[in-house]
Amino acid sequence: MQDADRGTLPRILNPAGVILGPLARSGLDALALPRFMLRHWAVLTALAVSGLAHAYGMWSYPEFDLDEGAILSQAWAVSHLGKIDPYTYWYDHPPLGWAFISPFTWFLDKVGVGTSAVENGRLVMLGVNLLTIFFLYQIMLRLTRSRSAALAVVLVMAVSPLAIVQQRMVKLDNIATMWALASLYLALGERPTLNRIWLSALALAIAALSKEPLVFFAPAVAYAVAQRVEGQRRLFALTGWTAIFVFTLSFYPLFALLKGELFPSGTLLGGNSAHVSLLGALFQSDRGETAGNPFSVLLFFRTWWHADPIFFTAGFCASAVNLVAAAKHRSARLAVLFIAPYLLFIARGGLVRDYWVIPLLPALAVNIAVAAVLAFGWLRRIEFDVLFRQTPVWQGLTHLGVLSVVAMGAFLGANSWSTYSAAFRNLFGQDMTTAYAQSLRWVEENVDPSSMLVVDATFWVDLQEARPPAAWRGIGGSTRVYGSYHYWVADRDPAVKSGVLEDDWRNVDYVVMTPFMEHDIAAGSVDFVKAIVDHSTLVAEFSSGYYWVRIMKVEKDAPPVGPAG
Amino acid sequence: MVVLGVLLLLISIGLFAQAIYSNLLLVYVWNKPERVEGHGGPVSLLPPRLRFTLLVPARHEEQVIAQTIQQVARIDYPPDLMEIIIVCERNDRGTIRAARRGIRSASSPSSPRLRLATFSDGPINKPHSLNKALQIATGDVVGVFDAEDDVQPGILRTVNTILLSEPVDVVQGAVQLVNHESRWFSALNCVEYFLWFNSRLHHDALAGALPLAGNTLFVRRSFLTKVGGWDDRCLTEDADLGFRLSALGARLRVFSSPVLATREETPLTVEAFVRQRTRWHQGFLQVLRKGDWLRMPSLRARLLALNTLTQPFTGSLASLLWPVAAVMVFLVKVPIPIVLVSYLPLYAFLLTMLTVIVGYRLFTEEFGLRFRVSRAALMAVAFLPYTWLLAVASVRAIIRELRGINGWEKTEHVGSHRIPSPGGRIARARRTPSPALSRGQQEATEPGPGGAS
Repeated sequence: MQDADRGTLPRILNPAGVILGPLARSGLDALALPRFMLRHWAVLTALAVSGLAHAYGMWSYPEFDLDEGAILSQAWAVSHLGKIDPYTYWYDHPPLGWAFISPFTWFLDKVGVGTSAVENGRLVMLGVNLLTIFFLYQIMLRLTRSRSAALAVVLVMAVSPLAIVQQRMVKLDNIATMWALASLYLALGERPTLNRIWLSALALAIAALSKEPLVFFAPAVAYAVAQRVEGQRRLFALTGWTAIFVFTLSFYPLFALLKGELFPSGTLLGGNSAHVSLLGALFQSDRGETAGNPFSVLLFFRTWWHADPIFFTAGFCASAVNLVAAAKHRSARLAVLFIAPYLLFIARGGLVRDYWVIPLLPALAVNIAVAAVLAFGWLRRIEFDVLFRQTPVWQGLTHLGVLSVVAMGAFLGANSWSTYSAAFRNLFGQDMTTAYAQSLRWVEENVDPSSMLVVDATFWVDLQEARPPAAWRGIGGSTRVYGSYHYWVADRDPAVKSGVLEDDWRNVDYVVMTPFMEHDIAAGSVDFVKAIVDHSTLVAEFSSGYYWVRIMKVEKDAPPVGPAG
Repeated sequence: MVVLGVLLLLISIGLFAQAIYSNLLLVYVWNKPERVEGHGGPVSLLPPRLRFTLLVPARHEEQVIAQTIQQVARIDYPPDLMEIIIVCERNDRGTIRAARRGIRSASSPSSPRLRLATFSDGPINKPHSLNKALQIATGDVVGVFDAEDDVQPGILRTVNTILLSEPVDVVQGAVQLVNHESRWFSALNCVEYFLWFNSRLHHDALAGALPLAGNTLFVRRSFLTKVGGWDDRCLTEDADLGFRLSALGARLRVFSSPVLATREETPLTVEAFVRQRTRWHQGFLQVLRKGDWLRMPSLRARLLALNTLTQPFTGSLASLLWPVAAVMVFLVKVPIPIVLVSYLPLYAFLLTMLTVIVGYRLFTEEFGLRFRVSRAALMAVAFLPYTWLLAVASVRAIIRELRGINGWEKTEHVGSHRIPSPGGRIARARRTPSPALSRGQQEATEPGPGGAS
């Protein structure tokens, strides 16, 4: 690798190699650990920087998101109930993502590392992110054969505010992206064995069974397989890869079929009794606020671009370069195949979520690395001396070109400086979660365990079981178990709303309200919850940043005013 | 219900694991690029130095033996380093006549020494003829060809080179069925051989548990004498010999290249095919029971031998069971996770089918045959019935072997007053042919390597 590295970038751009190289050749070689660290300094640096940027402040920022609570509820159901959902599984997503993290969150909860489920979940995400960075680095190294390029791009991504925010949160996309990168990494070895190819297919299937859209990385990995395996072995490799990928995926519809939940009720094959269904969920997931707007993705591109203009601009410029170079260069072709299908999917003009950028980030990074190395190769072939010594017109044009590139860079840098400084202040200093811990403690101290609570998903997991204190931080965990329901479940699941709560707001004692719940009440989508809130009074309020928690006590003696009363 | 569920779970996982393992062995050579590069044998050849004795046992082969003798005599190797022995039973006059004719027409001043050996004692089967011929063999290395084989002229130079340049005692060359378009099962049968000799056996040789094939095998004579020759009571004496040599610590080597593969033809009818497989499967049961494989030096080799010997039966079990399981899950209420697991053998089955079809593509490519998509599609359709034929053969093998055990026990009762010790009982049992065994032995001259399954 070192030779390839030197071939791409001058030695002076690799100062660590200059300093550490002679050190490595000296007597220090006898020590195993330093030698290991010297040999792998690049990937270790990448992991250290990325890990630090990820970990420092990850329990304070961003706020505990509803989705994180939902995924952790399902992980909790796997480890405690042996089911893939605490209530009715409605095929929102395939279950492998939360099934994968459940043993880890279960262990961290038992040991009591974090005080809340989301804290432990985010700790797991730190591990997921480190693996992601490792695979990403290896992929870029294998595509560009330049350690400098791989390291530089990984570092850029490691400090990208957009990446850090999204990767800190417990999202299925993070887990799925790790598996997808593992798959590409396995396929990209030098003359990989068929065993690696089988594992690559398995990893990609796990990725898609963690989050469906990751299936769009299949063309890139399949191309990598076709490119790396030659001769007689290629047919075996491609057939086996496709078969294992498809067979593993097919377990999901098979599961639904066996449960009689593949086809929606009311269809020919689905029967008439009411039930959830995989196909129904798949088509329903395309509705929502931004559905029907064919340019919905542009709104999100603007959001993403605002969050990290440099990385985003560089990524898309690089993708364009690779698209041009794809005709001649295999790496560029692979880079384009890596980003294009997924990009086309989110640009299809339907539902888009801001965290759908997560799989896009490593794809952009790969494109930047490949394009940078290609561009560097082209630049080295230009004879700059000749350009400068040509006619005055050429000289003028060359100077103009150099100046405009510098000016553009300066403009972009100056313009985005405030963006980045604000983002970093948030990432490493803003506290958005103390209110959560305070409200949890308030419930602990003031609410009787026999009470019935309506909460959001983050609280739901923490109220499900007694948690040991996080001893090393001196914070007490909860010791009681409460009856509680996630407000969507209380509103929508007939078994809970009619069965347990008897459609009566009086059967609820407290509502723990968060901005998410308020948003849904205001949108008019959870009327039963609204009725409960309408009959309750504020007893405590906590806030950190723009996140807040209001604890509402239901006034059972009040005269009925709500429609559900 | 719980018991049924757990049973289904365990059987499914077991069948799946063995199917996947066997599948990995089928593509063993293609797993790593360097294995593909090395599996055809040495590229540059050493000058001939070793002396070979080639044995050609023949029984009721008057149609083909003369031509085979001419082919073997034309092998590209110095005649003074080569000796060919054709072995016949004394009463098989037709074959003897044809063999004499063949020897006469092949004899010339530049031809190797050709001999016809006959024997009159029983049992009349292939291993016994081989043992008889071994007694008069003089070469450093003993090789075996069947009477209907298409022998390739370059083979001895390659074997000579391997034995001189590598620390090897046993060399197995490839055998290949080539008439892939004769019957509906022919292509599947051909690919089975192709994957067996081009991949699976390479792994088994390295692991130290190699079931030798019935021909194109070459063993240092000293080793053959040391191991006591072939077991003339075993229906797959070839696989048995391989395992006994493995147990003795013989170093094994397999090479397979289309130029050197001995060519044969598939059985002509379904009945003949099932009979052949019955014999092999029953032979594997006998090898399993004899237990020589337990003396192999490494645990890996012993486990591999166990896998090789039981795989025809577990494979059959899988091909019979998964359709039952697939239907049963709709009739019996079993928890969903168990049902999902019970589908695993079906997936393994499909993977094997794909492996075989890809193998067909490579087989036609290597042997310069025409690949037709319609033929590949037919293979996909025929694959399940084909595994059922193997299953029928497995069931027949088990029944026949059990009947054999009954006969043996009857013999036991008769002879028990003479042979008191348990060890003697087994030894005597082996020496007493049961009716089932002698019926099987008459099939022993059928084409095909006993090792393939």
